[in-house]
Amino acid sequence: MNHITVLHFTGAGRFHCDGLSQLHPGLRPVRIGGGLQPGEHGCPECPRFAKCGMSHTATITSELKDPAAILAAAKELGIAEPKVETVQLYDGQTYTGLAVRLKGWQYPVVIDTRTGALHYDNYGGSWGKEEELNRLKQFYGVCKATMIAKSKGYIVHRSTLPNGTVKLQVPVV
Amino acid sequence: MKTITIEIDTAGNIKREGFGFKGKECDEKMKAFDELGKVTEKKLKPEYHQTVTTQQKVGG
Repeated sequence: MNHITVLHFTGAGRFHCDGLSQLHPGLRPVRIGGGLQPGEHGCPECPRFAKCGMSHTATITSELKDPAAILAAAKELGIAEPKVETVQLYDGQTYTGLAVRLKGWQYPVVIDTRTGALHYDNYGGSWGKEEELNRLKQFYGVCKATMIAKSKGYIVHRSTLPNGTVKLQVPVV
Repeated sequence: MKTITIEIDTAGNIKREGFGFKGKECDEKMKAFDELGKVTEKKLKPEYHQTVTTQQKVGG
């Protein structure tokens, strides 16, 4: 079901949204841009938030669910091609999934691509640096986003920022 | 030009942003990238508020 979002603008760069007002009657107007002061309520609490049609920026927590993107990320990282394996970790627990052997890691990271869950034991960094796992997550995101864009026929411009962040610019027609 | 920018930091966090869109078009074009993971934060962009105000006047 589509909703029409009704906004009423007030002074000082704030607005009332009828979506959030459902939850908090008498709510103070929300600041444009979404930044919240302590004690304020914002869009993430709104019952319409997930389907809100307003233009936005979004922060996403990656979920490693696409085997093809995991394989592509492994290739970019220069590590062995992950294969589906059953792996026993130090505590004796066994996990089945795509086993990724990160550089310097004693045990592989086992990815359950049905849920995106990661099973690993790096003993708090002693058996493998957390940075390597983060790099896997980063390049998974890069590869997956590139695959999605290309499947839509879009061209992807990729660059790496000085802080290591990878930026993808996708012109959309 | 309408552009979607996706930034993936060294911890794997993803930030997605649309430029040059109006109203629902932004969501429609960005929807494809929902497969990247779970949206944990969403912020409205001020340049689109005027469009919504216009729609409100037409409808009202």
